[in-house]
Formats: sequence, structure tokens, C-alpha cells
Amino acid sequence: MNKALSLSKLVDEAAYLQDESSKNLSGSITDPENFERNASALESLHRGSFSFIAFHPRTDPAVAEYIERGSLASDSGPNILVLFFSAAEMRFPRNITPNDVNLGVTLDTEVHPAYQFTERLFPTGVRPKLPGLLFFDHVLDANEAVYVPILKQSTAIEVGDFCRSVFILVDDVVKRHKPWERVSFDDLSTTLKSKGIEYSRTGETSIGEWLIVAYDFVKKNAGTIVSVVSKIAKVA
Amino acid sequence: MTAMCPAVENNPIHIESASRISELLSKLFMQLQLFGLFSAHFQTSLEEAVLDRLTIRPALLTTVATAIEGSATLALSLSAVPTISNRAQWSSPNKLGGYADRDLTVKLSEIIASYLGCWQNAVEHPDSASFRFIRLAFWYWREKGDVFAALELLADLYSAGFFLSQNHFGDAALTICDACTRDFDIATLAAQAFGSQEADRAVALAVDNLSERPHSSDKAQQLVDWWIERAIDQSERARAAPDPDDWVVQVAGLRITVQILHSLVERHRSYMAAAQRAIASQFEEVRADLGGAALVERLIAIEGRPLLFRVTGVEAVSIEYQRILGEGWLDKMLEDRLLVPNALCTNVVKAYSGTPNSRAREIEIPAEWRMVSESVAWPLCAAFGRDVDIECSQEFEGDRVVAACRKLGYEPESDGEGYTPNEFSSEAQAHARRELSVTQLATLLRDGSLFAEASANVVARLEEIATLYPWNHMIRRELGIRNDQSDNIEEGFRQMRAAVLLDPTDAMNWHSLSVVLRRLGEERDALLAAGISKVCEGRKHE
Repeated sequence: MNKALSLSKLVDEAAYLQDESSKNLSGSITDPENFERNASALESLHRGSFSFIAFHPRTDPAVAEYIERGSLASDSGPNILVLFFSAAEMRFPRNITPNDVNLGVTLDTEVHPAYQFTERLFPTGVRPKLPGLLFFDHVLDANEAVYVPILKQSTAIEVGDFCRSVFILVDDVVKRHKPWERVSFDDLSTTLKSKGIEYSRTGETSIGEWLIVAYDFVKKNAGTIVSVVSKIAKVA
Repeated sequence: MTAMCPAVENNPIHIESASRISELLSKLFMQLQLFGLFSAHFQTSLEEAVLDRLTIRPALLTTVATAIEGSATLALSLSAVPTISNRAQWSSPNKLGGYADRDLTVKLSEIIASYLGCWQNAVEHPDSASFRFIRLAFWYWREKGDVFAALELLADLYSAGFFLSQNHFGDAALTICDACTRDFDIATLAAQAFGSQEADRAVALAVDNLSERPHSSDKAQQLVDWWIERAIDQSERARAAPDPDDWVVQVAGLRITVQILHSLVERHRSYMAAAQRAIASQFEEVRADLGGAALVERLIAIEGRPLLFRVTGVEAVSIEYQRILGEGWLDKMLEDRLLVPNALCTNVVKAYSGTPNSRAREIEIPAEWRMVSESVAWPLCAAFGRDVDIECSQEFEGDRVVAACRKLGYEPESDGEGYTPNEFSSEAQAHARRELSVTQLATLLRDGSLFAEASANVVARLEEIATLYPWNHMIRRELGIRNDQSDNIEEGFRQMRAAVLLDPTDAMNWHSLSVVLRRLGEERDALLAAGISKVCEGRKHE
């Protein structure tokens, strides 16, 4: 079973960790209004790639199952912070339940937040194939993102095999560059292309703005954005 | 991952066709385990006299276990209890430890001997007490080819009470963590005959040489990951605790995990992934909460105040949560922190609802959460050096404690006016409260009609006394007898069971239990209880 933690809590902790000499009784909690300001702290803490899994719990059950109890946590590794929309806020890390991956299960794909927000990243008229994995490296500034659709996989195991192969490539790209260089999307695109993996680039877009709008949207719909707690594979 | 916690596991001892005695012996064995766990968790004294608090319980359990193990008609088996060898008394000398049933064949009497060996070693040689666990962990690592299996065994041994000190566990666990992150090659110990002096020297040398090797960032991340996963699982179990027994046990197991996590973060901060650092930071708050609560409990115990279940820290933490988060702060605080189990969250919410300036009223604790049960009472008292029989469930008024302190010849430590118990030393307060408790109990029991044959309201009056002194075995036994006489046999058994758990060294408790068991039609259990009663009698005459 995979574990997750809400993005807002992760951002709080990141801001709290910026000054490790200062500790207080209430721990990391900050005013939720500071989400945008604190998000920059997350960028400082996490020097790898961010990934968002866009899926619909009803039409993409294999993806939902992969998130809940597949190998996602160990596939993504420490350099890729995987996010998804959850039906429940997880202020404390805990096991992902079927209910958590059920946000908007009754909604049509046209209005499902995960689908809607992925489409928002592309120029008008361009409709990405869903479900899929979105990769980006800034949570605030305007930047590019790369989108990899999950097209042919119909079971959680197949989704896992495919996602693992993509995560390995992204991880390699992250590791090829210095921590302060962030992710090279040219490098990533070339790598994906060389492996015959379909992808599309969003063009310059403000992921940060997108995230904040998405965060507010899912919050209004009694959900939140959560990050998967990566599980680092054991080496004997 | 199987984070073993004694009070919530299924019964570890099974005697064929004697389920009630199996359950009782399991609980008595768990009480020994919990004595160790609580001693470490509450960081009580490591003086040699600590082991005197065990009374003849281990010896009695050993005698009973040995008799059953040697019987041709009784079959005793153990489930996966973690254990470490006591080479003086161990039927598998080539195995240094592991899990009974799963890894090795070991007798209950041998495991009890191991506990006593470890505890004796901890109080007599505290500086070297961790070495036997380090040796075991290296051996287990070699046998299983997996350092995490060794760490899990160590952590499970802590939860099972083999360590009397958090420091001893920390030494052992962090040594193995260091060996892991510094890429120690376990194959270098492949040829060692563990248990020999030569192997001990090789292990000591390996540990000494660890500091010369650099840490591997991958291994450090894996290790932190492993402890984080354990902490998350233990947190979920603690939150889900259905009663105070489970809460106190789960919290003790979680606390040591977050302590180790804290040490690892200090060492490997630069290697850790973002999510790891964020989650470890959250567990820092949990560590502070649990550490604070344990300290409060210890102070309460030292002052002789009642060992009641308490919700600690809510009010202090709530102030900032309210200030920063405003509406919805309480739910967030309850989710972020491990201050109360889920079962009591509504009581905390109720305490804050409709109060001016969001100040809490007193948090109402349901009766079933007021104190731990008879299963956990003795180990809690033994760890704190308290007498389980005279534990009162109500606090004595301050002026009575002050008067008792003065009567006993103590002087206040400050010259403030309007003395409160806190102006006397902890020792004076504890002495005074003990005297008050004994006097009150004696007065209640001196009521001549209480033990009269024909008295309709005797049970009700005994129950009243049992509410005040829930851990007094004589009152519980008397309640058992009275209920049995009134044909309320299951309740009679429940009370008799409690009496045995509170004092298994009293032959009368076992004898009365055997009577009730016979009336329940549990012949084999009844015979065993009668036999154990005779063992107790015999021990009394020794």
C-alpha cells in the first residue's frame, strides 16, 4: 500500500525547514494563505522533478489502482515528487485508500478537475490524450512542462511497467544535471523520443499559477493535492 | 513489516485444549515484556533494585512453563515472539535469536531466562549492555542476508521489552544503521562462529572500524525511508488504539522509532530526499509530544499521584493552531499531532465547542479510558516502583496531602503561604499519598459486613471499592467469588481473571479461578489453575 502526504503540508514543512535553528510549539503550521509564498521553499528543498498524474477514477481505474497499491512509491524514487488529486486531505502521512483516489468519481471527464487542469496547460484547441504523467521542475515560475500520456495500458501492472520506465528516464535526466540546473526538458524530450515514448511539450506556462488554481479548485470540491511518499528500493 | 507490540498481538502462548489458561499465561508473559518496555519508555531508574519489583513472577512463570513443557499430556507452543539467546540456558546454542516458531525452536522457560539475563546485564553493566544486541543483529543480518531484517528484529525486541533503557537500544540500532550506511560488507563475518570470543572480537573490530568509512547516500536514504515507514505504520496503529492499554503500548513503540529517526536525520540530513525531510520534520513534533507526555507521566508517578490516563499537550499546542489557522484548527491539530487517539477526538472537540475565546473545558475521559486495565496495571506500576494493590483512581485533595506530609514529618521546600503539595518534595508527596491511600482502603475493608455471608448489597459495595481501587487483587477476587455464588459465572470469571493478572503469585487467586472454571465446564483449564495454585503454595513455603 502506498503512502501520501498533502502538498500543502509538504509546503508548510519545507518553509519550516528553511530555518532549522528556529522551532516552535506548533511545528510547521502556517496560514494557508501563505501557500504561494511557501511553495518556493519546496522548490529549494526538492531539486528534482515534479510529476502530476492526471487520471479519472472511473474511466482510468488501472491508474487509480497503481496509485493506491501499485509500485508507484518505489518506481518514482526520491528525485521525482509525484502529485495527484485526492479526495481527502492528508496532513499526516498515511496509507492511500481507495476513497482517496476517488475524487470526482461521479464527474464527467469534460469537467473532472484532473483532466480539466491538464488541458489548461496546452494551447487552446490542443487536447492531450488522458490519462497521463505531467513533468515540471518549477512550482512557481513560468516554465515548460512535458506530458506523457498513458495510452495502451489497461491493468495496474501494465500502468506500473510503463510509468516505471518513464520515471527511470526522468530520473536519469535529473541525475545528468547539477542540482541547481533543474530539469532539462530538451534532454528529457530527446530521451523520451529515443525510447519511442509519445510525449508533448506544453510550451512556456506558469505551473505555479496552475497549481494554485488547481489547489483552490480541489479544495472547494472537498479534495486536495497530495504527494506520494516515495519508497526507496532496498539494496542488499 | 511486523512491528510487534505485546499487548495487541494474539496470545503468544497456546496450550492445547486450555484456551482460558493460554490467554492468562499469555497476558502474564506480556506483563513481563511490558515491564521492560515501560521501564525504557518512561526512562525509569536502572538501579539493581529495579529487578526486585518483579517479585517472584518470572520464577513462578518459569516453574509453570517448565512443568507444562515437561508434561506428557500438555502441549505448549509459542507464536512468533522475538527473542535473544541466553547462552547459559538455550536449547539451540547455534542460534543467537530471532522469532520463536518462525526462526527457531525455543521454550517459554528459555525466553524468560533470556529476559532475566538481559535485564540483569542492563543494570549490572549498563556500559556494555548493548553489545549482545549488536552481536545478535550482525548475526541475524548474516543469516538473513538483509540488514533491515536485523533492524526489525532489534526494534521488535525493544517493543517486546528486552531493553530496559532507550540508550541501550539506541546504541545497538544506530550501530547497525551506521554499518548499513557505511556499506559494511557482512560477508567479512561469514566465517565467524558467532558466540565465540573470537567472533565477539571481530564484531567489536568491525564496529570500531566503521567510522573510517564514508556514508553512502543511497543507503542513508533507504535507511531513513525504512524508519519513516515504520513510524507511519506505528502512528496509524497508535491513532487507532481502541483502549488505553493499546495506546500506551503503541505510543511506547512509536516513540523509540521517532527517536532513532531523529538521530538519523541529524547524521544524514544532506542525503535525504525532500519528502523524507518534510516527513521527518513532522515526526519531530510527534517526538516532542510523546517525549513530553512520557515525562509528565513519570513526574506524576514520582509524586505518587494516580496513574490515570491523561491527555497531555492539547491545550498548549492549541493556542498557536487557533491563532494561525482560525476556523478548522482543531481538526488540523488532531490530524497533525499525536496527542490523542482517534477514539477520544470527539471528547477533545466537545471540550472546545462553544467555549469563550476557544479555551477548552476539561476534556471528559470516558470511564473505559480512565485507567489501563488489569492486564497492563502491574507492569506500569512495577516500572514506576508503585504498589498495584493500593493504586487509587482518585486524586486526594491538596490540603489532605499537605496535612499528611506534615504528619509524616516532612517540611515544605519553600516558605510560600497556603501550602500546596507541590511545595513538598516529590518523595514527601508520594509517601503522603501512599499513606492516605492505605488508610482509606483499610477503612473501606474494615467494614465488618462487607465479607458477611448474607448481604444483598455486598457486590454493589465491593464494586464501589473496586472503582476506587481497580487494581486491588483481593477486592477483584472477592467480587469474583460473590458473582460466582450468585450464578453470575462469566462475570465471576472476569473478576477472577483480573485478580490473577494483578497478583499471579497468590495461590488463592488461582484456586478461586479453578472453581469458577470448573463451573464453566472448562475442566482442563480448571485442572491447570488448580495445579498453578499448588505451585504458588509451594513457593510460599520455600
